[in-house]
Amino acid sequence: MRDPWIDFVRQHYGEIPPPAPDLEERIVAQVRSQPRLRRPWWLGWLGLGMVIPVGWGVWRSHPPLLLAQSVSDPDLAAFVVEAWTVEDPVEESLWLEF
Amino acid sequence: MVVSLSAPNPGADSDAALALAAAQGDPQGFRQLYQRHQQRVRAILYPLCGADVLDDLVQETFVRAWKGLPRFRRDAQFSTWLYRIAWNVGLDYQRHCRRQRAQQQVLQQTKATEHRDPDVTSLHYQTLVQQGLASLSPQHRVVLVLHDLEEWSQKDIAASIGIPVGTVKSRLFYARAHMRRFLEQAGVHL
Repeated sequence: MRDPWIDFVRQHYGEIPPPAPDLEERIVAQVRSQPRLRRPWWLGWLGLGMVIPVGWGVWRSHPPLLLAQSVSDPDLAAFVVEAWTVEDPVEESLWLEF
Repeated sequence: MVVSLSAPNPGADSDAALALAAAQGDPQGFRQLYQRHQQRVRAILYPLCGADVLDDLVQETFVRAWKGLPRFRRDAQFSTWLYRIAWNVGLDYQRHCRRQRAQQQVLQQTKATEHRDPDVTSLHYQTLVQQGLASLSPQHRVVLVLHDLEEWSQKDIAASIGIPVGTVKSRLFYARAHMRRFLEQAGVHL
């Protein structure tokens, strides 16, 4: 059974206004006036052929810097001490016996 | 009745063949595509923009399609692709209107002039229905209009505006409830 509210909305929605008589011609005229730019197939290869030597040159002249900072020796020592410090006294004693 | 998105005239060239011809620069193929699909493009755009700018947005949709045809994937359905463009054109217009804070005004201005029914009660109901639709979000409004008024299937709506079928169902449920509440509060008793 159809929802009476939907029937009501359908009844009073009205009709979609028809297109202007010249709309179709306007659209066709506009697309005619816009010739598509066709990219030649070899253009991509040309671009790639230029990018490779330029990229290689940049790489050679400016080698990438190391992004990760080195860890200084005192920091590393502090990390090792902290990581190996045992909080549990029982385990600590076992560790000492060992 | 459920409307299918496939080509309405099976004896004529398929959409895919026409799209291929149009992609190669044939305006006549594109003209046929326009004639086949303009009505459904209007059905998508009308609830988003009203009557005043409808023709302009239809034109924008087809011009965008023309420009995009070389990138159109042949394994896709042309109608779905075109309706997605129409949906995006409608949303762009909505954003434009929102920026100008004129959306409600535009939607309500479409009334009285386009309905020829002299019955005052009928005009009142038409205005109420349009106001109720305008109070929905564009996403809910389009789903309600396409499904309940234009009789598109949920699957076609989902494909055309790029959402899952489950989302179509939930938006439909919400939009119907909203319209019923709106009309009841406006004094409509069925």
